[in-house]
Amino acid sequence: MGQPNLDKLRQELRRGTLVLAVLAQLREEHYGYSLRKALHDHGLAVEEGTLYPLIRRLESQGLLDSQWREESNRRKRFYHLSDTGHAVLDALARDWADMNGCLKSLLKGAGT
Amino acid sequence: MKWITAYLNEVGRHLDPATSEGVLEELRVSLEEAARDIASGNDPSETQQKQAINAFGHPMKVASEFNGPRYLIGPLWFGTHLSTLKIVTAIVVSISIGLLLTVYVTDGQTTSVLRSLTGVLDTALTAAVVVTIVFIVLGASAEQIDPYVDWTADKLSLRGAQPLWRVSVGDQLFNLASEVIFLLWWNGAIVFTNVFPTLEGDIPIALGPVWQALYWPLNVLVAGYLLLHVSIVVRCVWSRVTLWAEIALGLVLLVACAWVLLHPPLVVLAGDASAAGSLPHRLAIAFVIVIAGLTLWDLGSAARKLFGRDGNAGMGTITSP
Repeated sequence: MGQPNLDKLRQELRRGTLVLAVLAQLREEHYGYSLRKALHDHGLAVEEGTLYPLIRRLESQGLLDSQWREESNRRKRFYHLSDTGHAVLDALARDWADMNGCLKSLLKGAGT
Repeated sequence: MKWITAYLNEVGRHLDPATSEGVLEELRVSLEEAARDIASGNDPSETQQKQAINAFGHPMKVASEFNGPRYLIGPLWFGTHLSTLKIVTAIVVSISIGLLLTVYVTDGQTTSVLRSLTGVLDTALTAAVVVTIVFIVLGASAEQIDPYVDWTADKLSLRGAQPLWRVSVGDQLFNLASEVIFLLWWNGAIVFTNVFPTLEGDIPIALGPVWQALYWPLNVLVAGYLLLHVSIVVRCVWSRVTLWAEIALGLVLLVACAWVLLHPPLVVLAGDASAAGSLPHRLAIAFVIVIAGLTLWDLGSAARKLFGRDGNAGMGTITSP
């Protein structure tokens, strides 16, 4: 398989899991850049062009609450999980665990 | 940080104005912090600003991520829109060319080739625009009424369980063009050179008397073919009815070909025909045989589809087990 295809498939694979990662990370309050750094510190490098629109979408879906606040003489928008967000995160985390079990079983012997 | 400001202005040009202010303010914080991190906490240089910008990517791409997917027609209708566009444009262009030819021949009206082509192109573009507007409206309505939510298998018709015999649009357009040209010529709307070139000079030729008896039968037969092929091109699939119609018309055409071949001469040469020998007559026979052969091929292809012996998996056949 050519590298461009592999990159595209990886991108698709990560896109679905990114929502879960962002929700999990936003149990603590973050602004955009600090969230990106936190995800990076956990080994998940996310493009800014993907992360910021995603946060906005999650907020418009009611999964995040946000607040403009001043920090280090700069106005920043801080995000954290809303009550709905907490419930959704719990549900998605359970789904992820189930899916992970399935995939482990499917991938057994696949040379991974 | 002028490079960051320039970049944000570019992104802002493509953003939804309702949300752009907040988005840009948030992006500015992130870009400036990223640039400062690259500069290890110091004021970033121009190169360091550009490094931070590069991590974000093309302004239009970033803006499109914020705006979300926006469609004029939408992926749901795209395939149907494209095929309708092709069919309508092909039909409109064929009719326009047919009309132009008829006007030239019957009225002797002369127009430059460029002007004629511009006219045909203009008609085709108008048709394409109308089709596109219809689909934009359809796409917008479908988005509002969302007909897919209420869909169940009860809405299927068993008529759709018959094999799906796909049509080669190229073949059918060739058929349509041939049939239109034949009808125009057969009825005298267009005239081809009616001389046979020989070493002694051109000899005028004409159709033999056998064809006179076929004037109306061939008009009806080819008009029938024309209607059949227009309906096939519009529907894009063969049905049992159209396959049977193709077979019936093919059989009639084969009978007509056989009848013509049994009643020579097919062409008549003016004056002393001995100079040309029987070559024009033999050429006419060969032409009729080729037509009969092509008809036989189409007839066999239709029969194979109907009776399930066609290896037409490559034509997109879908059959129920």
